[in-house]
Amino acid sequence: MILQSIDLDNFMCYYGENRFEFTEGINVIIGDNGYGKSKLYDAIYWVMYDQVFDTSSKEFKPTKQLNNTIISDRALHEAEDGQIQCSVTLTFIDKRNENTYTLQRQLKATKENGEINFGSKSSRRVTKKKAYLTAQVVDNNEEIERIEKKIIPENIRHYMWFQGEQIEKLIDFRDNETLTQAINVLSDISNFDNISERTEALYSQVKNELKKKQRSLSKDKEKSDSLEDDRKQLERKLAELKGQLKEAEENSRKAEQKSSQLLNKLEDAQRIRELDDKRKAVEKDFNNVHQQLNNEQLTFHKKMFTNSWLLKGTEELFENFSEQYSKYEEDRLNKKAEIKAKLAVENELIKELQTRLPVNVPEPIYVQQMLKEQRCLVCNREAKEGSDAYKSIESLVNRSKKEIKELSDVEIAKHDFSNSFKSLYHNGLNQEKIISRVDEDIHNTLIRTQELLDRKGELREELDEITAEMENIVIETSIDTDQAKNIINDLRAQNKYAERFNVDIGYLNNQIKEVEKKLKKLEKDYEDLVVGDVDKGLIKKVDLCEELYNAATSTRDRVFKRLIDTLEEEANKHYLSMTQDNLSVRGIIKLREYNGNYTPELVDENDNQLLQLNTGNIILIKLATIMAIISARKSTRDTALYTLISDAPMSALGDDYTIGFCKTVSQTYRQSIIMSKEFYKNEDLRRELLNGNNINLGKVYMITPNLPDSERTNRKKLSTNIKPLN
Amino acid sequence: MDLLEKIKLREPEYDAKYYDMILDYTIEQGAKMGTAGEEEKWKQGKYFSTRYEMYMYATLLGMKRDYSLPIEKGTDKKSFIKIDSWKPSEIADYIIMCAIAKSNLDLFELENTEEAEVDKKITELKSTIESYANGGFDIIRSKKEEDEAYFLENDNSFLDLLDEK
Repeated sequence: MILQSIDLDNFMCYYGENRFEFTEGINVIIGDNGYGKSKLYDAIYWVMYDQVFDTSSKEFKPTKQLNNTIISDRALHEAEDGQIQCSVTLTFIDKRNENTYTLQRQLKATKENGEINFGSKSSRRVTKKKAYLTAQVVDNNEEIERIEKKIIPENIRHYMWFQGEQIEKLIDFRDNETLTQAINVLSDISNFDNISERTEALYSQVKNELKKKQRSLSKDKEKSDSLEDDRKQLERKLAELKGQLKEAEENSRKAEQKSSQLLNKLEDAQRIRELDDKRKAVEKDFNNVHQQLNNEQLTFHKKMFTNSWLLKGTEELFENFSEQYSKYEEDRLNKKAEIKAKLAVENELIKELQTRLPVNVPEPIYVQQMLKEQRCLVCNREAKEGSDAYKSIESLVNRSKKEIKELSDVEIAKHDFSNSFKSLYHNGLNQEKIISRVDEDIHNTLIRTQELLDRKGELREELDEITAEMENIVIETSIDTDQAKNIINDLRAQNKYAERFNVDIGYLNNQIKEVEKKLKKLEKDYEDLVVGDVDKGLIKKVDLCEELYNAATSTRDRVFKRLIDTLEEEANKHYLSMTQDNLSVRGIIKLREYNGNYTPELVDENDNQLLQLNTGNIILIKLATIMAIISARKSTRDTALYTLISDAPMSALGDDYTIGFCKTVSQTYRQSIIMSKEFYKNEDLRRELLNGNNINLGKVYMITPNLPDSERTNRKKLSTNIKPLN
Repeated sequence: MDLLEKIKLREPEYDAKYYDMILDYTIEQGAKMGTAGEEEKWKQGKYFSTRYEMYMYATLLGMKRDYSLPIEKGTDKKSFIKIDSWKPSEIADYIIMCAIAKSNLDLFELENTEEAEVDKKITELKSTIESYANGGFDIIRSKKEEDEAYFLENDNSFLDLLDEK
């Protein structure tokens, strides 16, 4: 049967009514972490098994324990008082007869005065619709079981419906149980085990019968009894040694298993360590840039004053002042020239007087006498007041007071503000030079700030990417930074344990051989004591039982080996197909026997193990093996009858492997539904998926959360956008 | 005394109604709040460290836009420190120079006036500065009223305002 559609109504992040339709081929639901891919997987699982995967405890839990996470938070938040309903409907179609089956699970809650009460149980309704007829509700449990089996049989369910994080555990061939489970899917090997055990018991029983007979025919009964006691003691010892060996082998297996898990994690651990170092370096750069940016922003406004930014555009005012100052200078010069000319005249007169008679000749009292008498006493001529002669005598009176004056002796104006004006002018000149560079200065500062902002943004982005990658690795591998540091130490310790247990195994094997040798000799001694003939029929019976036992064991081993070979061959077919586009060393998958168990490893053409595999390789080997478990059952046509549903199986794969996986899955399974984030950001990869020639493509959807930016702290407004891409 | 020194002893005043607006963009200084560091200024979303910085800005903004708005008589005014204490002194001197340019003073004539007349002219220069500062504050006020987010959401708002016509 193939899954035709899923209808989700208020289920988890799928608020309101949502629908996905699927066809044959590979159907892909693309979305980033937290966008609702796993919730879709949960929805299918919930309808079928009334359980959902609890991400915190990493296990499936029944509805009643997870009620409050099943109904959409938005539906609960927005609902008025009354009933709130959530449901998921799966519609399957049986292509052989066109019968349609719907399985719908519902969960109800009631809201009263804002308080929400969840119903204790979910309910399920199954309907069957034969072609051209009306759908009928199926209430017969046996029929429901038959329908469920048609959807997915229990024995293959784990290999058809799985989450990415389960892959490691599903195929852990060092663990006896996972191997047996896988082999049992291929063929019921436990039947052979039962036959083997029964023949062994039969053989042991007739052997004891023979011993009893032999003792009764002994020529030395006492010795026979003593030998029998010794034999019993040796057998007890042998059993004890075998017990110890089993324990040592189990311990060794566990140490190897742990060591192998750690080896698988080693690459992730190294990557985490690298990322952690890188994160620290980027964080240092980020803080540095942040500090520079802070400084830049802190000094930005200060530059308004220190770099004279606020003067931009005031050049005209300086020009005006320059004109004022220039006029002032001119006025001063003119004034100076005027004063200078006046001084020149005055000085000339003084000079002239000084050349006529020396100062104080005649002495001032005689000059006063001459003026009083209006007569020159030197030449004795009359000098009437007001006459030129009188004036000439009079000019001699103040002659001593009159001195030649310099310009500096004369005040040009009442005040001298020249220093102030000059200072203002020079300051203006300096500022003018600065103003001419202000635009460039501001531009450079803004560019520098922008560069720092850009750099900060880039570093923030880089930091976010590193953190996201680290978080992803931590989620996928359950290794945190501290554990990453301890993995190498743990690995060394586990290898040491394994080495020690292997030494123990060698020692115990030797001991066992010795005891078995002793037992054989003892058996011979025992037989030598027998006189007369033991019933030949009994001896024949023992031989026959031994043969039967050996045949049963070897048949079981042969069948098992054949199944392993088939599995290996089929796994390699898928592995080859998935790795075709990747150029790295591919290797061959080998299911290597180890202490009676098998583990998948990659080998070269000479059967030498390829070491240092990356996580992608390891997951790919396991995916190939999972696919092989189903596809190797050729007679059952499981790959054509049932849908492969997997959530994030490709999270550890590179781009080429991702496409290779999709191609192989689409060619192997009639229908598959894969949830993936690989195609979300990588548009080239998405294009390759949508246009890939060798991919038998079904429907492709992109899911994104629909949530206002202001409401990202909770899910009260969350719904999911479903966009078909083809 | 030198003219410049005399001018710089004056304490320009501003309309008291701008007191709160000035505080909006200025870190409170002195005894009231203590001295805030540059970082604090940034965190508080302040643009000016002192009130006189904003006063210088407003004066130059008014002068650039040629927007003189004399403070009306009887207006409640606030005074603050004398120009001599404004820093950087180069900007303070430049503002005085601009005020002289704006007042169309005949410098030589000023030198030839009586002491009392010089003092009167200095008072007029102070008034010129005050009028342009008042004009500048009015531009900031109307910008703020017109677009509340202008100064809140743009770190370069006061720089951008200088470029606006």
